[in-house]
Order: sequence, then C-alpha cells, then structure tokens
Amino acid sequence: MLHAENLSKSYHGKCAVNQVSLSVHSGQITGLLGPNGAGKSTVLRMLNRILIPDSGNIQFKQKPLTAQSVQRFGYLPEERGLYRKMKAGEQVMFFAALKGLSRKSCREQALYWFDRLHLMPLWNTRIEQLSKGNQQKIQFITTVVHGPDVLILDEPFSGFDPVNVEQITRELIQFKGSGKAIILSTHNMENAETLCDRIEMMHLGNHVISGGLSELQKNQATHSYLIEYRGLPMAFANALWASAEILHQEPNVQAETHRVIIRVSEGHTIRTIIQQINQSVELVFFKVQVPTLREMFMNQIQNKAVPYA
Amino acid sequence: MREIILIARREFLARIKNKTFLFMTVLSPLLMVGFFVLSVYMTQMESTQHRILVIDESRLFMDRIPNKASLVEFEYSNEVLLDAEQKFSERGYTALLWISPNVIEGGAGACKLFYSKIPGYALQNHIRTALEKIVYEEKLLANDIQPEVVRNARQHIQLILQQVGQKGSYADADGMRYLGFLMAALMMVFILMYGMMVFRSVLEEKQSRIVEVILTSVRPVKLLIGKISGIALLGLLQFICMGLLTWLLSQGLRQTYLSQSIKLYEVYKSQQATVFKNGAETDFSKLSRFDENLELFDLFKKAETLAFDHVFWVFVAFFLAGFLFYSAFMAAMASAADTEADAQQFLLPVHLPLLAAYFIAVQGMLNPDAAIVQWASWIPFTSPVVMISRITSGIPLLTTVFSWLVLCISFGIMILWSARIYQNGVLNSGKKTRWLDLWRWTKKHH
Repeated sequence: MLHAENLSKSYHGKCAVNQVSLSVHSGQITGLLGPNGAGKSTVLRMLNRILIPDSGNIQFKQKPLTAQSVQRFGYLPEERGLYRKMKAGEQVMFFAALKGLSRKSCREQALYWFDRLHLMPLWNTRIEQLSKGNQQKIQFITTVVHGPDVLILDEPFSGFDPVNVEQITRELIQFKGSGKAIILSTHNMENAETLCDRIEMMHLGNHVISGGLSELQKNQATHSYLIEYRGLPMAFANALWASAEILHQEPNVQAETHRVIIRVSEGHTIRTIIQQINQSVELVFFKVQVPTLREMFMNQIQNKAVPYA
Repeated sequence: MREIILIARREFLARIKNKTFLFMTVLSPLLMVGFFVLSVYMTQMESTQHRILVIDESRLFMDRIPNKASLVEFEYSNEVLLDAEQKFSERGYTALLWISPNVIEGGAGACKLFYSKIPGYALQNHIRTALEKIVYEEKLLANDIQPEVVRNARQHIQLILQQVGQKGSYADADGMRYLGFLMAALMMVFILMYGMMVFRSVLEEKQSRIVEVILTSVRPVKLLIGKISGIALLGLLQFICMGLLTWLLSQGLRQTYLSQSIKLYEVYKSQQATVFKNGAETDFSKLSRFDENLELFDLFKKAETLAFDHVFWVFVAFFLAGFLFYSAFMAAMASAADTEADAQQFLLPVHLPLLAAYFIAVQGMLNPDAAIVQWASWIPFTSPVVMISRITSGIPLLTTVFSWLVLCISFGIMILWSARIYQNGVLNSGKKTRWLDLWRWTKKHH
C-alpha cells in the first residue's frame, strides 16, 4: 500500500537517513525499529510529507504520494501534543475536520471513539484537566477518528499503563484485521515481536534489517541450541570436544539435570553432535535457540556501527 | 480554503471564549474614559476650602476677583501687609494675596500670595487669570476701548488644509496633530498586542509539538494564513467593540458632564454669527459672556472640523494590513524560538522597526514633510504607524491608498517568506536556532 524507495535526508550536511527503502502492506503491521538517533522519526515525517526527502520517492497505492493521499493517513508522533485549553470532544472534532470529514461525520466518529475507549464522561473536559493516560487516549483517537487507510504510529504505547497498552494493542489488531496498513515505530521489542508482521530495523540512518519475523530469525540464526542432559558435565564436555562451544550452563537441581546452551562450530552439524552426546550422557531435552528481536536489535547496534555517510 | 477557515475558526473561538478577552474588551474603554475623566477631575478638584485675604494697594481689584463656588472666598482689607502677614492664618484665612500699587505697570513681585495651606494649581490659575483679566480690561478702558467690543471682536481662525483636487483628506492645521500622534501610539500598541497573540500561538504549538500533526493535514502557508486571519478577525471585533463602547461612554459623559457646555457653545456660535452679521450695530450689552468656556469652545470647534469617519476607517485599514504584515513576521520569529528565553531574542527585530516608526511619527508631528517621514510612509515596517500619525495633517487620499497597497503587497511577500522559515523552524526542536539558520531556511525547502 505504501512504498518508499531510497529515501535520504540530510540536515546541515549531516545525513540523518541514508537510502532507506521500506514497504507497508494492507492488513500488516510493520515495525520500524532502531535506537535513538537511528532516523526513524525522520522517515516517518517523510512518509507524512512533513519533510520532503532530499532524494528517493514514496508511492501510495502505486501513485506518487500527494497531500491528498496523506489525508488518508493517521499519524501519532512520538512527542504528543494537544491544545491544552480545548475541550476533549472539540479537539477530536477539530482534527477530524482537518482530515476532511464533514461536520456530522466528525461528531459521529468522535462519539463512537469516545464511547469505545470509555471516555464519554470526559467529552467536555479540558485537556489540561485530564490524566496523562487519558490525554494519550485522546491523542490516539485524533489519529484514528477519520478512519485512515494507513496508520503511522511513533511509540504508540509510551505513557500508557498495562491495561491501556492491552486496549490499544487490541485496537491495532482490529485495524490490521480490517485491512489497514500500520507502521509502528517502537523501542519495546516485546510489543513489536507480538504485533509486527514485518520488521524494518534502522541504525545511524541506515537500513540494517528488513523482512518478516520468522524469516529474520532464520537469517539471523546463531546456530545455538538448548540441551538438557543427565550425567557428568565432564563427560558432556568431552562429547562435544571441538565440535561446539558451550555458551552457558546451569544445573537443574530438582530434576538432577544440567541445562546448556551450545553454539555449533564451523564444519560440524548438530546431528553428529547429538549422536556423540547420546553416547556419553542421557539427553533429556533439545531445542533450537531462535534469536529474539531484542537479541537481533542488540546484535545490530553492537556489531554494525555504520558511520554517517 | 476549508483548512484555512477551520484553523481561523479555532483560533478565533479559542480566544473569544477566554475570559481575558471579555475583560479586556470591556475594561479598556472603561479605563480609557476613566483615566480621561479622572485626569480632568483631578486637575479641577480643589477639595480644600480657601479663605483668602486680599490687600489691594492698587485699589483696582476691590470686590472684583470672583469667588469660586463656595470653595474659594476672597475678603478685602485695608490693613498694612506686615500686620496681616503675621496674623492672617490665626484669623482663619488660608492665604493672603497682596497686590502692589504699581501692578498695572507689571514686573516681578507685583503680586504675592502668602499661604498657610499650600494652594493647588487650580487656585493659582484662578487668581492669575482673574487678575490678568482685570488688568487687561483696565488697560483697555484707559485707552477708551470698551472691553465688550474687544471680547466680541475676537474670532478664532482655523486654517483648513486641503490639497488641490483631493477630497476627504483635510485637517485643522494645528489642532488635531496631537490626535495623529495618539493614534500612532495606539497603532503600535495594537499591532504588538495582536501580533503577540500570533507569536504565542505559534510558540505554543511548537512547544507542545501539536504542529507536527497539523502539518500532515495543512500546508504551512495555509496554517499561517488561517492562524493570522482568525486573530485578525478577533482583533477587528475587539477593536470595533472597544470603539463602540468608548463612543457610548463618551456620549454618556457628554450628556452628563458636557451637556451644559454644549448648550452654551450653541449660544456662543449664534452670538458670533450675530456679531458677524450686525458688526458695530450689535448691542453688546445684551450678549452673554463666555470667558471661562472659550478654551473648551476652541476644542469643540477643532473637533467639528475633523473628518472622524475618514480617520477611523484609515486607522482600521492600516491596523489590519499592519497587523497582517507584522504577525506574519512574528510567526516566523516564533517558529525559530524554542523556549520563552529564546523568544525574547527573536522579538527584537519586531520591536526595533516599530519603535523606529514611533520616533519617526514624533518627527512627523514637527515636520510632516521631512524626507525620513516620507520614506517611512512607504516602507511596510514603518508605514502603519507613520501614515496614521500623518493622516490628520491632510495627506491626500491617493497617497494613503497607495501606501496601504504597498503594505498589503508586502504582507503577501512576507507570508511566503515566513512560511519557509516556519516550516523549518517548527520542526527544529531541542536545538538553539542561530540567525544563520534563518538565512538557510529562507533558501531551503523543508
């Protein structure tokens, strides 16, 4: 639905985003991940036409992105802001009207969302009198009130308590189910892992990882395995010899077993290692170690310090 | 266009619902009229009662100095000054007025006022005027001239300026120049006051980051135009309300405070007409005397000659155009600021030309044809203030319209320039903006 190709943006000669490409598909949640200063917000601003890229192009539904198409987007920036003196209901209706809704639709949609997020009693309350959590909810409503095709959310869960995180998560899943394209920028890896169908990872302005979560886990496989055995640790170590490296081990006193994480050395296979282990100790449990998103993220940050172009 | 209306409507409603707006709209005219009444009242008020002993050695003033409505009472005595000076306060007098025998020849020390309670300015003025008038009449009589003849022969001449072929722009040469000066000051205050609303609004949206969401729906130039027009409408409404309220208050004041004077003025005008018509054949003994009201009548006459409606509309037109121009400029400056402290620095380029315009307007009062005044009437940074200060000096209508058009066109250029600064400035948070950055933003698209 939304496709950006080779986006670049510099500020005062410093490159903030360098040749970044990404795609957001209908009915999918794409996670844009990266540490602070990775260039995520700049990419999101370019997708919203708040910033014009120095180079590259963005297409929405196979057509160049226009101001008109951005009206079909809902944008929740990282640093939230509402008119403090304005009443909650008026505020939501104002933003809905700016997105092109008729006066009647503005009211209907605003009422629908206030009801849905249990905010109806706060319709006539000034923003400055609301709790932070409720202000965040109002901000979320202003993003979705016009029924956008694309949702661009920068840290949507920040400032929410676990109950509200759960509620917003449910809403996002529902949006996804109704065919909306969602792009989600977050530092919360657990959320991203649960919600996102695709991951786009950025570091220092560069695009470092891209793809579906399982695809990435496969690509980023570390050839590590979790093994639980009963027997002598010395016998286990001898069985491995030079075919694998022990990364971590701990005894399971209750079960009288040992838990070990091993990484298979180059030129060896897990099949032969298992055979060797079976001859020396009793194999109780075996599992392939899949890298988590957090591990992939940390791995990228620590190993791929790409200098600014 | 829809977005502009939406933004303008929000700005307008957000402010008009504010209690401060209502308070300012009602309070300002009350304060303006109140200050005027108070200042007049204070100068006239003489709450202390005075009993003044008069020792008139010239014998010209005996029983001729008028008492002042139970507040000032003159009593005459033939005592020697030295004795009276010692004892006048013991005898219940608040002051002793001594008039020398040769007062008619004048000179310093011809009259002296000894006091126990300090006499106010109004009392001093009353004594001085009364003495001067008596001496004046005595001198006329000494030359066989009846004072009534001279009094009725006085005619105030007004010099009306009107350029050949121009209509609508005329003025009393001397009288209403001060009004122009006052309007220049008002213009500066209004432009700054409403300009600051735009400045604060931009700064608030930038600091709260709300602008980032708005910019996904509205182009920066439209956002600026909407914001400025909303506040301009508010300013216009407030200005008209304040003007109307001031007019109503002054009408009330006129009915209560000046009604007697206005009636007298009408009589005075008809008398003047009779004297003009009949000349020497006029029976002066039947004419009323208005000596104490002549200064006020002079003011009435000057006010009658000024085209107030013309001045009002010119003020409104220049206020609107001047506000639009300056608020666009101030919006750009606000977008560059990141904190309140920063804002002060970026307000300097706004304050300086307005202050300069005010000083040029002062210069224009003394010399309306000075080259700097002429130039400042065309430069958009100074023209709203300077032109309005000159309007009472008889500026041709065409010149006024032309200067206003230049100001309007300059607003168009300013808003485009401002939008460029704005779209870069509002997204530049957490980093102090330098003047050089403004220059870069002028050239670079966001």
